[in-house]
Amino acid sequence: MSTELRTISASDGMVLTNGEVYGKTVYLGVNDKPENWYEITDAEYRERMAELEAESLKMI
Amino acid sequence: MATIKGKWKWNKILDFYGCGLILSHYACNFESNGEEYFGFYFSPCHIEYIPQAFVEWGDNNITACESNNLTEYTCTMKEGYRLIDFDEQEIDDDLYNFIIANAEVVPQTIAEKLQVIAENEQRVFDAGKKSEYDAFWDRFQSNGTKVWYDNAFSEAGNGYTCWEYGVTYKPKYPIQPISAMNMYQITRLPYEAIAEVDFSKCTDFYGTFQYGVITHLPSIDLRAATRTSNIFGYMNRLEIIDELKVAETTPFQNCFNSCTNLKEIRFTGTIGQNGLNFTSCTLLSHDSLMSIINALKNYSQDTSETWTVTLGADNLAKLTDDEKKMATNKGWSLV
Repeated sequence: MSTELRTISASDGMVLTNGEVYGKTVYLGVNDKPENWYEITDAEYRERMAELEAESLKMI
Repeated sequence: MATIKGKWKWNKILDFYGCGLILSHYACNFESNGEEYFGFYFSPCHIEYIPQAFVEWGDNNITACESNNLTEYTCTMKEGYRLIDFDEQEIDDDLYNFIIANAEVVPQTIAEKLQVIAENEQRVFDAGKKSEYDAFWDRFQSNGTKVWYDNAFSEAGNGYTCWEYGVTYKPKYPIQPISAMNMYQITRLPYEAIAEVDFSKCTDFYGTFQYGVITHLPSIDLRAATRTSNIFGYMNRLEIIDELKVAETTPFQNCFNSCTNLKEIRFTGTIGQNGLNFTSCTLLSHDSLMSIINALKNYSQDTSETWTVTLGADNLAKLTDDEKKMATNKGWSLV
Protein backbone atom coordinates (compact mmCIF):
# COMPACT_ATOMS: atom_id res chain seq x y z
CA MET A 1 0.00 0.00 0.00
CA SER A 2 1.33 3.43 -0.92
CA THR A 3 1.98 5.81 1.92
CA GLU A 4 3.00 8.61 -0.38
CA LEU A 5 0.62 11.54 -0.44
CA ARG A 6 0.15 12.36 -4.10
CA THR A 7 -1.30 15.73 -4.98
CA ILE A 8 -2.39 17.42 -8.17
CA SER A 9 -3.29 21.09 -8.38
CA ALA A 10 -5.18 23.16 -10.92
CA SER A 11 -3.51 25.93 -12.88
CA ASP A 12 -4.44 29.54 -12.17
CA GLY A 13 -7.99 30.28 -13.31
CA MET A 14 -8.74 26.57 -13.65
CA VAL A 15 -10.54 23.91 -11.59
CA LEU A 16 -9.85 20.19 -11.49
CA THR A 17 -12.68 17.73 -12.02
CA ASN A 18 -13.19 14.06 -12.69
CA GLY A 19 -16.63 14.84 -14.06
CA GLU A 20 -18.26 14.38 -10.66
CA VAL A 21 -16.45 16.54 -8.14
CA TYR A 22 -14.52 19.79 -8.40
CA GLY A 23 -11.59 21.34 -6.59
CA LYS A 24 -8.36 23.29 -6.88
CA THR A 25 -6.31 20.56 -5.24
CA VAL A 26 -6.81 16.81 -5.22
CA TYR A 27 -5.11 14.39 -2.83
CA LEU A 28 -5.21 11.20 -4.85
CA GLY A 29 -6.43 7.95 -3.38
CA VAL A 30 -4.08 4.98 -3.67
CA ASN A 31 -5.92 3.69 -6.74
CA ASP A 32 -6.67 7.04 -8.34
CA LYS A 33 -4.61 8.41 -11.23
CA PRO A 34 -3.84 11.96 -12.32
CA GLU A 35 -5.18 11.15 -15.79
CA ASN A 36 -8.64 10.66 -14.26
CA TRP A 37 -8.69 14.42 -13.67
CA TYR A 38 -8.82 17.32 -16.09
CA GLU A 39 -9.07 21.08 -15.91
CA ILE A 40 -11.98 23.37 -16.68
CA THR A 41 -12.03 27.15 -16.41
CA ASP A 42 -13.39 28.98 -13.38
CA ALA A 43 -16.25 30.26 -15.55
CA GLU A 44 -17.13 26.74 -16.64
CA TYR A 45 -16.99 25.65 -13.01
CA ARG A 46 -19.39 28.40 -11.90
CA GLU A 47 -21.75 27.56 -14.73
CA ARG A 48 -21.70 23.89 -13.79
CA MET A 49 -22.31 24.68 -10.11
CA ALA A 50 -25.30 26.84 -11.02
CA GLU A 51 -26.71 23.99 -13.08
CA LEU A 52 -26.21 21.52 -10.26
CA GLU A 53 -27.86 23.81 -7.75
CA ALA A 54 -30.83 24.35 -10.02
CA GLU A 55 -31.16 20.60 -10.44
CA SER A 56 -30.96 19.99 -6.72
CA LEU A 57 -33.73 22.51 -6.04
CA LYS A 58 -36.15 20.98 -8.47
CA MET A 59 -39.16 19.72 -6.59
CA ILE A 60 -40.34 16.30 -7.55
CA MET B 1 -84.21 -6.60 28.23
CA ALA B 2 -81.91 -7.43 25.42
CA THR B 3 -78.53 -7.95 26.96
CA ILE B 4 -75.18 -7.24 25.37
CA LYS B 5 -72.35 -9.21 26.82
CA GLY B 6 -68.65 -9.01 26.26
CA LYS B 7 -65.91 -6.52 26.56
CA TRP B 8 -66.72 -3.02 25.48
CA LYS B 9 -63.99 -1.07 23.84
CA TRP B 10 -64.32 2.67 23.61
CA ASN B 11 -62.63 3.70 20.44
CA LYS B 12 -64.37 6.82 19.31
CA ILE B 13 -65.66 9.53 21.54
CA LEU B 14 -67.24 12.56 19.98
CA ASP B 15 -68.89 15.63 21.38
CA PHE B 16 -72.27 16.64 20.29
CA TYR B 17 -74.95 18.93 21.48
CA GLY B 18 -78.64 19.68 21.36
CA CYS B 19 -80.05 16.31 22.25
CA GLY B 20 -83.52 17.04 23.48
CA LEU B 21 -83.37 17.50 27.21
CA ILE B 22 -79.78 16.54 27.24
CA LEU B 23 -77.49 19.51 26.87
CA SER B 24 -74.45 17.63 25.72
CA HIS B 25 -73.32 14.11 25.49
CA TYR B 26 -70.87 11.73 23.90
CA ALA B 27 -71.24 9.16 21.27
CA CYS B 28 -69.03 6.16 20.94
CA ASN B 29 -68.62 2.94 19.15
CA PHE B 30 -68.41 -0.08 21.31
CA GLU B 31 -67.60 -3.63 20.58
CA SER B 32 -69.52 -6.65 21.69
CA ASN B 33 -68.92 -10.21 20.69
CA GLY B 34 -66.68 -9.06 17.89
CA GLU B 35 -69.20 -6.67 16.36
CA GLU B 36 -69.25 -2.91 16.55
CA TYR B 37 -72.25 -0.98 17.79
CA PHE B 38 -72.98 2.65 18.16
CA GLY B 39 -73.86 3.81 21.64
CA PHE B 40 -74.08 6.85 23.83
CA TYR B 41 -73.27 8.15 27.19
CA PHE B 42 -73.93 11.71 27.88
CA SER B 43 -74.25 14.69 30.12
CA PRO B 44 -75.68 16.78 31.84
CA CYS B 45 -73.12 15.10 33.99
CA HIS B 46 -70.05 13.83 32.26
CA ILE B 47 -70.66 10.12 32.40
CA GLU B 48 -73.21 9.53 35.08
CA TYR B 49 -76.12 9.20 32.72
CA ILE B 50 -76.59 6.64 30.11
CA PRO B 51 -79.52 6.20 27.79
CA GLN B 52 -81.44 3.02 27.53
CA ALA B 53 -79.93 2.62 24.10
CA PHE B 54 -76.61 2.01 25.72
CA VAL B 55 -77.77 -1.30 27.08
CA GLU B 56 -80.76 -1.93 24.88
CA TRP B 57 -79.87 -0.81 21.43
CA GLY B 58 -82.79 -0.76 19.04
CA ASP B 59 -85.39 -0.55 21.75
CA ASN B 60 -86.63 2.80 20.54
CA ASN B 61 -85.02 4.75 23.31
CA ILE B 62 -83.34 6.97 20.80
CA THR B 63 -86.23 8.17 18.74
CA ALA B 64 -84.17 10.15 16.27
CA CYS B 65 -80.47 10.42 15.63
CA GLU B 66 -78.65 11.78 12.66
CA SER B 67 -75.16 13.02 11.96
CA ASN B 68 -74.18 15.92 9.77
CA ASN B 69 -70.47 15.32 10.11
CA LEU B 70 -68.05 13.50 12.32
CA THR B 71 -68.53 15.69 15.33
CA GLU B 72 -72.11 16.90 15.35
CA TYR B 73 -75.21 14.94 15.95
CA THR B 74 -78.82 15.74 16.69
CA CYS B 75 -80.60 13.24 18.79
CA THR B 76 -83.85 12.88 20.66
CA MET B 77 -84.16 10.31 23.33
CA LYS B 78 -86.11 9.15 26.31
CA GLU B 79 -85.08 9.17 29.93
CA GLY B 80 -81.55 8.41 30.90
CA TYR B 81 -80.32 5.90 33.38
CA ARG B 82 -78.21 6.70 36.32
CA LEU B 83 -74.86 5.02 36.69
CA ILE B 84 -72.53 5.14 39.63
CA ASP B 85 -68.76 5.51 39.49
CA PHE B 86 -68.62 4.84 35.83
CA ASP B 87 -65.60 6.66 34.56
CA GLU B 88 -63.48 4.13 32.75
CA GLN B 89 -62.90 4.15 29.04
CA GLU B 90 -62.66 0.43 28.86
CA ILE B 91 -64.75 -1.87 31.00
CA ASP B 92 -64.52 -5.51 31.71
CA ASP B 93 -67.33 -7.99 32.30
CA ASP B 94 -67.45 -7.36 36.05
CA LEU B 95 -67.87 -3.63 35.61
CA TYR B 96 -70.36 -4.20 32.85
CA ASN B 97 -72.47 -6.37 35.14
CA PHE B 98 -72.17 -3.73 37.83
CA ILE B 99 -73.46 -1.14 35.40
CA ILE B 100 -76.40 -3.29 34.42
CA ALA B 101 -77.24 -4.06 38.04
CA ASN B 102 -77.17 -0.41 39.05
CA ALA B 103 -78.92 1.08 36.09
CA GLU B 104 -82.07 2.81 37.16
CA VAL B 105 -84.28 5.58 35.95
CA VAL B 106 -83.59 8.73 37.92
CA PRO B 107 -85.83 11.57 36.91
CA GLN B 108 -84.16 14.87 37.64
CA THR B 109 -85.36 18.37 37.95
CA ILE B 110 -83.86 21.04 35.74
CA ALA B 111 -82.13 22.49 38.80
CA GLU B 112 -80.56 19.13 39.59
CA LYS B 113 -79.39 18.77 36.05
CA LEU B 114 -77.89 22.22 36.01
CA GLN B 115 -76.08 21.46 39.24
CA VAL B 116 -74.60 18.32 37.79
CA ILE B 117 -73.57 20.24 34.69
CA ALA B 118 -71.78 22.80 36.82
CA GLU B 119 -70.04 20.12 38.85
CA ASN B 120 -68.77 18.32 35.80
CA GLU B 121 -68.07 21.15 33.41
CA GLN B 122 -64.30 20.80 33.56
CA ARG B 123 -64.40 17.03 33.14
CA VAL B 124 -66.66 17.40 30.15
CA PHE B 125 -64.37 20.04 28.68
CA ASP B 126 -61.28 17.89 29.27
CA ALA B 127 -62.94 14.85 27.79
CA GLY B 128 -63.94 16.90 24.78
CA LYS B 129 -60.38 18.12 24.31
CA LYS B 130 -59.07 14.59 24.56
CA SER B 131 -61.62 13.36 22.09
CA GLU B 132 -60.59 16.09 19.67
CA TYR B 133 -56.92 15.17 20.13
CA ASP B 134 -57.60 11.49 19.60
CA ALA B 135 -59.84 12.06 16.62
CA PHE B 136 -57.26 14.26 14.89
CA TRP B 137 -54.15 12.17 15.51
CA ASP B 138 -55.94 8.88 14.88
CA ARG B 139 -56.86 10.29 11.50
CA PHE B 140 -53.55 12.02 10.80
CA GLN B 141 -51.42 9.06 11.85
CA SER B 142 -53.78 6.42 10.49
CA ASN B 143 -54.28 4.92 13.93
CA GLY B 144 -50.55 4.49 14.28
CA THR B 145 -49.88 2.93 10.88
CA LYS B 146 -48.74 6.08 9.02
CA VAL B 147 -45.33 5.74 7.38
CA TRP B 148 -45.59 8.29 4.54
CA TYR B 149 -44.68 11.60 6.12
CA ASP B 150 -43.86 13.55 2.95
CA ASN B 151 -44.33 17.27 3.70
CA ALA B 152 -46.10 16.28 6.92
CA PHE B 153 -44.70 18.97 9.21
CA SER B 154 -43.35 21.38 6.66
CA GLU B 155 -42.73 24.85 8.14
CA ALA B 156 -43.61 23.58 11.61
CA GLY B 157 -43.13 26.08 14.38
CA ASN B 158 -42.53 29.11 12.21
CA GLY B 159 -45.86 30.73 12.88
CA TYR B 160 -47.22 30.25 9.39
CA THR B 161 -48.61 26.79 9.96
CA CYS B 162 -50.68 25.17 12.66
CA TRP B 163 -47.79 23.15 14.08
CA GLU B 164 -46.56 24.38 17.42
CA TYR B 165 -44.50 22.04 19.54
CA GLY B 166 -46.35 20.82 22.62
CA VAL B 167 -49.52 22.61 21.60
CA THR B 168 -50.63 21.26 18.25
CA TYR B 169 -47.53 19.21 17.47
CA LYS B 170 -48.20 16.39 19.91
CA PRO B 171 -48.15 13.14 17.91
CA LYS B 172 -50.16 10.39 19.54
CA TYR B 173 -48.21 7.54 18.00
CA PRO B 174 -44.46 7.04 17.45
CA ILE B 175 -43.30 8.60 14.20
CA GLN B 176 -41.55 5.95 12.12
CA PRO B 177 -41.46 7.18 8.54
CA ILE B 178 -40.53 5.19 5.48
CA SER B 179 -40.67 8.33 3.38
CA ALA B 180 -39.72 11.69 4.89
CA MET B 181 -39.52 13.87 1.80
CA ASN B 182 -39.58 17.52 2.94
CA MET B 183 -40.99 16.26 6.21
CA TYR B 184 -39.45 18.97 8.38
CA GLN B 185 -38.42 21.49 5.76
CA ILE B 186 -38.24 25.09 7.00
CA THR B 187 -38.85 23.81 10.49
CA ARG B 188 -38.33 25.60 13.77
CA LEU B 189 -39.32 22.63 15.87
CA PRO B 190 -36.96 22.02 18.79
CA TYR B 191 -34.30 19.36 19.06
CA GLU B 192 -36.60 17.22 21.22
CA ALA B 193 -39.23 16.98 18.52
CA ILE B 194 -36.78 15.54 15.99
CA ALA B 195 -35.15 13.29 18.59
CA GLU B 196 -38.47 11.50 19.02
CA VAL B 197 -38.56 10.37 15.39
CA ASP B 198 -37.36 6.90 14.44
CA PHE B 199 -35.80 7.13 10.97
CA SER B 200 -34.33 3.63 11.03
CA LYS B 201 -36.66 2.36 8.29
CA CYS B 202 -36.78 5.55 6.27
CA THR B 203 -35.62 5.35 2.66
CA ASP B 204 -36.46 8.76 1.21
CA PHE B 205 -34.80 11.75 2.88
CA TYR B 206 -35.23 14.20 0.01
CA GLY B 207 -35.18 17.67 1.59
CA THR B 208 -36.20 16.29 4.97
CA PHE B 209 -34.77 19.22 6.93
CA GLN B 210 -33.90 21.63 4.13
CA TYR B 211 -34.11 25.33 4.98
CA GLY B 212 -34.69 24.37 8.60
CA VAL B 213 -34.17 27.27 10.98
CA ILE B 214 -32.61 25.30 13.79
CA THR B 215 -29.10 25.00 15.16
CA HIS B 216 -28.92 21.51 16.56
CA LEU B 217 -30.08 18.16 15.23
CA PRO B 218 -30.05 14.88 17.14
CA SER B 219 -28.91 11.51 15.84
CA ILE B 220 -30.38 10.77 12.41
CA ASP B 221 -30.43 7.21 11.14
CA LEU B 222 -29.64 7.11 7.40
CA ARG B 223 -28.83 3.41 7.18
CA ALA B 224 -31.92 2.55 5.16
CA ALA B 225 -31.70 5.64 2.95
CA THR B 226 -31.87 5.37 -0.81
CA ARG B 227 -32.13 9.11 -1.40
CA THR B 228 -30.69 11.96 0.65
CA SER B 229 -30.73 14.91 -1.76
CA ASN B 230 -30.83 18.20 0.13
CA ILE B 231 -31.59 16.50 3.41
CA PHE B 232 -29.84 19.33 5.27
CA GLY B 233 -29.68 21.73 2.34
CA TYR B 234 -29.60 25.46 3.06
CA MET B 235 -29.71 25.07 6.84
CA ASN B 236 -27.38 27.96 7.30
CA ARG B 237 -28.02 28.18 11.05
CA LEU B 238 -27.30 24.53 11.70
CA GLU B 239 -24.24 24.12 13.94
CA ILE B 240 -24.38 20.59 15.30
CA ILE B 241 -25.56 17.20 14.09
CA ASP B 242 -25.09 14.83 17.00
CA GLU B 243 -24.75 11.74 14.84
CA LEU B 244 -25.35 10.44 11.36
CA LYS B 245 -25.78 6.71 11.34
CA VAL B 246 -24.76 5.51 7.90
CA ALA B 247 -24.35 2.24 6.04
CA GLU B 248 -22.15 1.39 3.06
CA THR B 249 -25.22 1.84 0.87
CA THR B 250 -26.21 5.24 2.20
CA PRO B 251 -26.08 7.70 -0.70
CA PHE B 252 -24.94 11.30 -0.32
CA GLN B 253 -26.41 13.78 -2.77
CA ASN B 254 -26.10 17.49 -2.07
CA CYS B 255 -26.66 16.75 1.58
CA PHE B 256 -24.86 19.76 3.04
CA ASN B 257 -25.41 22.55 0.51
CA SER B 258 -25.03 25.93 2.23
CA CYS B 259 -24.63 24.48 5.72
CA THR B 260 -22.25 27.34 6.33
CA ASN B 261 -22.38 27.23 10.14
CA LEU B 262 -22.03 23.49 10.62
CA LYS B 263 -19.27 22.92 13.16
CA GLU B 264 -19.83 19.49 14.63
CA ILE B 265 -20.93 16.27 13.02
CA ARG B 266 -20.22 12.67 13.90
CA PHE B 267 -20.53 9.71 11.60
CA THR B 268 -21.08 6.19 12.88
CA GLY B 269 -21.09 3.22 10.55
CA THR B 270 -19.38 3.11 7.19
CA ILE B 271 -19.30 5.69 4.42
CA GLY B 272 -19.23 3.66 1.22
CA GLN B 273 -20.71 5.94 -1.43
CA ASN B 274 -19.45 8.92 -3.40
CA GLY B 275 -21.06 12.32 -3.15
CA LEU B 276 -20.15 13.69 0.27
CA ASN B 277 -19.40 17.37 -0.15
CA PHE B 278 -18.52 19.67 2.73
CA THR B 279 -17.25 22.60 0.68
CA SER B 280 -19.86 24.91 2.23
CA CYS B 281 -19.07 23.74 5.74
CA THR B 282 -15.87 25.69 6.27
CA LEU B 283 -16.29 25.77 10.07
CA LEU B 284 -16.15 22.02 10.58
CA SER B 285 -14.06 21.03 13.57
CA HIS B 286 -11.00 18.81 13.31
CA ASP B 287 -12.86 16.09 15.25
CA SER B 288 -15.69 16.25 12.76
CA LEU B 289 -13.28 15.86 9.84
CA MET B 290 -11.61 12.90 11.51
CA SER B 291 -15.03 11.36 12.14
CA ILE B 292 -15.62 11.50 8.38
CA ILE B 293 -12.21 10.06 7.54
CA ASN B 294 -12.51 7.29 10.11
CA ALA B 295 -15.87 6.22 8.71
CA LEU B 296 -14.63 5.89 5.10
CA LYS B 297 -14.78 2.34 3.82
CA ASN B 298 -11.45 0.79 2.95
CA TYR B 299 -11.41 0.57 -0.85
CA SER B 300 -7.64 0.13 -1.11
CA GLN B 301 -8.13 -3.22 -2.84
CA ASP B 302 -10.91 -1.96 -5.13
CA THR B 303 -9.76 -0.51 -8.44
CA SER B 304 -13.14 -0.67 -10.14
CA GLU B 305 -14.17 2.87 -9.30
CA THR B 306 -12.77 6.20 -8.17
CA TRP B 307 -13.84 7.16 -4.68
CA THR B 308 -13.89 10.80 -3.62
CA VAL B 309 -14.98 12.87 -0.69
CA THR B 310 -15.03 16.64 -1.01
CA LEU B 311 -13.97 18.44 2.14
CA GLY B 312 -13.03 21.74 0.52
CA ALA B 313 -9.80 23.68 0.76
CA ASP B 314 -10.63 25.23 4.16
CA ASN B 315 -11.19 21.87 5.78
CA LEU B 316 -8.26 20.17 4.06
CA ALA B 317 -6.02 22.83 5.56
CA LYS B 318 -7.02 21.62 9.06
CA LEU B 319 -5.64 18.13 8.42
CA THR B 320 -2.05 16.99 8.58
CA ASP B 321 -0.58 15.00 5.74
CA ASP B 322 -0.73 11.88 7.90
CA GLU B 323 -4.43 12.45 8.51
CA LYS B 324 -5.05 12.98 4.80
CA LYS B 325 -3.17 9.76 4.11
CA MET B 326 -5.59 7.88 6.34
CA ALA B 327 -8.20 8.64 3.67
CA THR B 328 -6.06 8.24 0.57
CA ASN B 329 -4.65 4.95 1.82
CA LYS B 330 -8.21 3.67 2.02
CA GLY B 331 -8.63 4.49 -1.65
CA TRP B 332 -10.42 7.81 -1.28
CA SER B 333 -9.29 10.93 -3.12
CA LEU B 334 -9.72 14.08 -1.05
CA VAL B 335 -10.85 17.22 -2.81
